[in-house]
Amino acid sequence: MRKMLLAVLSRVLQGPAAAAGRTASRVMVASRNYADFATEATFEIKKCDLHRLEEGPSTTVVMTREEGLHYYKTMQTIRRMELKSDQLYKQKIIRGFCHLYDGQEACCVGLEVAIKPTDHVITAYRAHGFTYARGVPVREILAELTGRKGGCVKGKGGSMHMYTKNFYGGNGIVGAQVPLGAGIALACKYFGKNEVCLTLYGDGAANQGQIFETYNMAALWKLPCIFICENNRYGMGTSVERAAASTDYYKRGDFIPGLRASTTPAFFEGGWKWGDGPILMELQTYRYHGHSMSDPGISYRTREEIQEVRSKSDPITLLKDRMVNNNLASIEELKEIDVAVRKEIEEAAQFATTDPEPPLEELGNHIYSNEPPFEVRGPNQWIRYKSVS
Amino acid sequence: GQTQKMNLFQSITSALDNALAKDPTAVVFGEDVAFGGVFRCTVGLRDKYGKDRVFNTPLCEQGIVGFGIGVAVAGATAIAEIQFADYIFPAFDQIVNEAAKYRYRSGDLFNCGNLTIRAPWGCVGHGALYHSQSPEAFFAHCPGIKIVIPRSPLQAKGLLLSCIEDKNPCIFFEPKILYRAAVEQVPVEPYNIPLSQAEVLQTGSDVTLVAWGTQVHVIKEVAAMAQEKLGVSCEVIDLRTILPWDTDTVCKSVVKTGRLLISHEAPLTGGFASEISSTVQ
Repeated sequence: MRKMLLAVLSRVLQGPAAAAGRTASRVMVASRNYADFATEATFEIKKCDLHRLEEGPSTTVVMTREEGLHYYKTMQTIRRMELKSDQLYKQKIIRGFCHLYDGQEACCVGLEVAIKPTDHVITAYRAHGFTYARGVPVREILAELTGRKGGCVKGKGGSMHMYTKNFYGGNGIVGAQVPLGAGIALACKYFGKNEVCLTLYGDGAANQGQIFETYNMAALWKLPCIFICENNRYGMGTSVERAAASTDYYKRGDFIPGLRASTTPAFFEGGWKWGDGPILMELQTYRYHGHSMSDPGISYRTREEIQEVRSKSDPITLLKDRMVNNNLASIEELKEIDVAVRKEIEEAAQFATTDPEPPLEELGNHIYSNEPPFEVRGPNQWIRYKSVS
Repeated sequence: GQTQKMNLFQSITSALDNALAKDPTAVVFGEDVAFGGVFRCTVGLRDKYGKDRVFNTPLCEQGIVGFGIGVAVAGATAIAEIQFADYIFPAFDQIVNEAAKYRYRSGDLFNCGNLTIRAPWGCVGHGALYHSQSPEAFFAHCPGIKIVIPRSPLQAKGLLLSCIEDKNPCIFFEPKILYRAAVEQVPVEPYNIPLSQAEVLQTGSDVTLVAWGTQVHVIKEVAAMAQEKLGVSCEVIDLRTILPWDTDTVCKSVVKTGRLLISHEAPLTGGFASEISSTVQ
């Protein structure tokens, strides 16, 4: 029997977070008369589907105005950042592979709010949103995409390999990050610091063998590992019905309790209390772009479907509506946030396009960790790079 | 017979088309092959041969190859696609421990010779860590399988059909940068190019140049430049089959010229060039 107190899963935000002890974030807005606005609003949200859990998160959530504004700004920043990346890619300033996260912002924002900065996150290659949520400034993300030395990984990682403190990427091989996540969780347990590891993967990866090996290890050793399946309905070009014998990804952990949330308008957060062992969460979401920039995204789904999700379930629009309808913010205020976000993205893009590339001497660095630097052969035997670490 | 202008991926489609037509037990499967594949190698095959012969697998390389071995052992011709050679590693155990050793360990009672694994291979300019690898050296260390790498559409179709018909499990790496870039007149009808035979593209007397896949085109240019600028006559050899490789042709050539240069995309240490050079010595 598992004794788990779960966080509230909220359609818009926030739950009774007495245990969380988060600090509220500040949003820069022009000063105005706040007496007009409510300080918080209560929302009813849809119940989660549960697997091996007696009760799920509460269906009543409370969101404060400040939290709403924070979520709005963060999601809008990620949205605009992804759209800017799209633009830069089409201008061939970003090369290589680029997997965009727009449409799924609610997942990373909600998850980040739920955990502490000392908790750990690992995800797959659709990682720009998480990179931002974990604290990397937009300019460093865009500079990493354009391969400049101001990027968060010095320009050597690119779109799929972005890292920062307590954020382990950014991993290209599908499913390979899940056992890593369990390992991080084991280290958390071993060091006894009460930290958790969010281990994310997609609906396509959910059919990889190593995921099931990881479920077993995590449950056997009761690791503080939260498995999260971001189900955006398509594994690259294959819809979930055609890839999975069971599309109830939250049940795939079998002996691991699971829950499913429709997260496109949803965030969730909370103070997790660990009873024993891992838990699996499936977030139902949607991506507007194709799998990557070379995928138009319409050969396996219709434009109408994309349009429908955009008009009915867009997380940013839904948040905006709820905030305005419940008098938590005004349209003008949110518009001002939009303007500020656009400006931030523009400046970041400017930095990303003008920052110099890493110097060629650094090409061979960090292959090994070694005492004396050694030489690495370049494209021909007369070109050598020094490998320093 | 009749030929048609085809690029590399079209020649692969043509080969698969021929194979599916000739062999009623042949099946093509892999990630996203149904709509045509991420490199369009399987376009039109599902419509022509039906969804029980051309079908998608879920995202699980180990499962794809393991499943392919099973199909082959049961007697059907399995043509599996691994979406990028970089992703073949979860299937490494299945290939090396299961496929390669099946015939040996069952005393020839069973075999999975009907299995062919195709994978896009090699650098493409923007692939970075996980869309550019050339893992032929890892598999070269494993007796029981064959590894084939074509340099052009004409070669690809013949070699792929030979792999499919070969009674041993084969891995067929397709240079992805050549999918669109290489165009040739390719016969529409099936034809075979023998495996384990290297091809001497150009005879010479001063030095032997050996390569496979995309690099063959590079060394051809090098040979031309060497002739023009240095007056050096180069013998150019396309190895074609990496395992088992044609030691005779290469050694005979080196006996003639006295010098050998091997060029490949894979990392230097432990790359297949080291095997060739040590054998030649």
